[in-house]
Amino acid sequence: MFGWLLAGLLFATTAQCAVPPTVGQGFDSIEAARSDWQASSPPADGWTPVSLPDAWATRWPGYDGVVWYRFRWTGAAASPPRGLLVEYANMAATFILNGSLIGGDHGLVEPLSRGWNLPRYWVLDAPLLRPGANELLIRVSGLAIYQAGLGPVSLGAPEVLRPAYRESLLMRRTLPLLGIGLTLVMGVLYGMLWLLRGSERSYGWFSLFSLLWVLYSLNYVALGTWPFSSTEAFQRANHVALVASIVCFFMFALHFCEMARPRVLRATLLVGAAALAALIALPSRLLEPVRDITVLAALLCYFASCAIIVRHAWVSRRLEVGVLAACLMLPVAAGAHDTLIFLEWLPGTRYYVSLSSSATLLGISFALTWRMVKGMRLVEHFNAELQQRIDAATQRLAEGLGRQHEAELVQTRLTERLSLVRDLHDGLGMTLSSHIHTLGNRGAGDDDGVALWALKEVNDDLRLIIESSAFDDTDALADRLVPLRHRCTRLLEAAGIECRWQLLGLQGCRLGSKRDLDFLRVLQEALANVLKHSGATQVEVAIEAVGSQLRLSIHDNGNGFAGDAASQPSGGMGLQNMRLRAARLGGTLDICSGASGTLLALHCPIEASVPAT
Amino acid sequence: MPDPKDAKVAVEDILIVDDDPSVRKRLERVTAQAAPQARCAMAGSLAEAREQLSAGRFDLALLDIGLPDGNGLELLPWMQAHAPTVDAVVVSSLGDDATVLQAIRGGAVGYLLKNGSDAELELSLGSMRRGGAPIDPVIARRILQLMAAPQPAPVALANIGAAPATTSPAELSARETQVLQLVAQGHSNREIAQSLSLSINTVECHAKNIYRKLAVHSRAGAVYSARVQGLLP
Repeated sequence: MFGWLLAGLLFATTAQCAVPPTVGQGFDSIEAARSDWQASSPPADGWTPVSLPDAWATRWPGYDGVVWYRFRWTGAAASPPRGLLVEYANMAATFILNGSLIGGDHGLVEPLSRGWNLPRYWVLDAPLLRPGANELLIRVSGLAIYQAGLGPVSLGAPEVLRPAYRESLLMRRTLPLLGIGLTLVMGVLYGMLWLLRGSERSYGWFSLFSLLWVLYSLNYVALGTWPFSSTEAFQRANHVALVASIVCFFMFALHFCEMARPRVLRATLLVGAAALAALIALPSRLLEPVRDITVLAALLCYFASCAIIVRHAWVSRRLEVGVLAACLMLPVAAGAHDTLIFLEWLPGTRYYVSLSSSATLLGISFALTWRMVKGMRLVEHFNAELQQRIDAATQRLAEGLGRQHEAELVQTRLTERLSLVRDLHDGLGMTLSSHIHTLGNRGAGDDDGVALWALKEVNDDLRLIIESSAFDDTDALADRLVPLRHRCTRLLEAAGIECRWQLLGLQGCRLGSKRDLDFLRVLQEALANVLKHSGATQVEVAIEAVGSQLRLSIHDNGNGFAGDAASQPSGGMGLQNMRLRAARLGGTLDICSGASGTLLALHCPIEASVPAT
Repeated sequence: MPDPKDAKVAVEDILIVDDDPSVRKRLERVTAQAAPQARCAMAGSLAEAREQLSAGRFDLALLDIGLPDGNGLELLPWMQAHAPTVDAVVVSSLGDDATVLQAIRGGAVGYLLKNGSDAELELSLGSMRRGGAPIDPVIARRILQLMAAPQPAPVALANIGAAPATTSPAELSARETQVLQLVAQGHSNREIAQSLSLSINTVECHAKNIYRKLAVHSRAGAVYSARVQGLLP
């Protein structure tokens, strides 16, 4: 696409110094003469021989008006039809063969028709084509500043010239029209994208660049000056579009390569605006040099943009930038190649610039689309990953909640158990206390004694159960002992019995909650006996863990209960109960009672797995 | 049985707040044994208790937790404001140390375990009449935990009398902490008195002082505390 500009510049600067070999063939003479704008017939004199292609500004500098080109040749007697190919006539032209008008443009005075890039072709035959002397007149209306003149004209066999005409048509009309269509579509498409996604600035600048480039490209295909009323206005607008579009391209490059620093952007826009203002406001006589300068500046700006993108491609190593850089380099390389061919430094006649020009467009659209697709892929991956994470988090949460729920269940069960036991005791205990009180007050019948003993037993059991329900299974015996110790000591001391405790090696000693209860029950029963029956003033309680054995000894200085126990209806049962519990603990219970006191000794294994038979 | 010489000679007025007739009867009986000269008044609900406390003069109020028109603990802030001279004692179940601690934070200076034996209740009441307060190892342990980590309250303490930061409990003295530690280990008052060279009475007075220090004294604080614990709407 940009190749057209390049090619245009190349042709503009070098057109007059090179004559393609096939052009201008078939004529005996080619001459040119000037006339005024309104002349309808060629001037009588002032003819000078010329070679084609011709740009008359070199011969008649600054001449704006009409130039007649006269071609003369001698036809054969029985000539076959001849083809006539005119590459272009800059700007508007009329064609007259042997005095007959065979074709021409509409606007021969301002606004001039724009035929500068329009190839024309005729097949000429008798009677228009005469045997002997023939004369072709081409009347060209043009403006010196726009390289007014005539392109190569060929007269020859139609089978030779027709393909040449077709190729010329393809190059000068079809491909540019195709390019314009393509560019327009890109401009609209990416413009839409940008409108819907304002943060993608590079899309916006690319769209603007494309649309302005369409306006500029109209220069190659427009056949009139519409919507402008003069060639100058058209050309001026065209150059404005060119410069603006290149500025947009530069802006695109800056954004695309993530170099869009505010200061750089501002400077670019400022310079671009100044150039545009100059192009719009300048008087006509100054237009030509300024135009050349701005076009040159635009070209440099274009190369700067290419350089930025190529450098970014090199640094970032991203695929899409690389492809874009390659696509940008293609027309430049083609332009260089064509220049070399044009200068005949390279052999061949194939020009690639116009073919490669659409590469830029394709490259840019590939790069932008690639980025878009990559972004979409990223989003898709992100979504997938997010979903995964959500799943994982949900699972973790569910597990956590499950565990928490389980823990709460355990806690609730414990609490429930506790409150159940407590409620039981609140109700039952109250009844028990009241019955114990009633029975105790009534005095001691034998039956009542047993019942009293049983009630007290139940009460004490309940009490221990409640006390130990506050502990969990991890608490050591030493901890579980504390409430009982406190309670018994308090009662014993209130009754005037001094109570000494000796705990040895109990750190970390655990019996398990059931066996704890048996152990504590023995202790409680023994101390209750001391309280009620011993008449002692002192009691020593020693609990000792030695190896795998637990030893309990309770020694009081009372008067012994061997004799006393017999007189107590419940005494034997209390003792039996203690023995039973000792057996359950897998241990032995020894009681040695005498006048100087009673010694109760319980030996049992700490581990439940060593049952004594 | 406390030595009659230790008993206060002055007539005592005791308010028993409980809706269960059998409990009331038992408490009255035990009170009569511990303090034969004491006069007992009865209240079956919070409203009755407020009425009685407003009308008459009492030395001691025994508060049940579960009353028909609310929680006995709700009375504590009210008593702080309207009957500050009455010692509040909660009647709690064994093993319900969380409630006991809540009561202490609310201003109670003692507690009775209603499922203890009559002899134990008598001992506790006797101790209170001598100006002391009963304390047991479980409560002592709880208080030590509370003092060690007043904020943020660990999970184990979250449901007991953990007060808001602004009303965190006052510092206990070294001696008070020592007493608590020994109680928590199961030592009796006599043992503690021996090892710290104190009188037995002093040990019980220490307990009462500890309770007083733990109490949330500002009325707003107590209300807030109660609200946090879900006792008040």
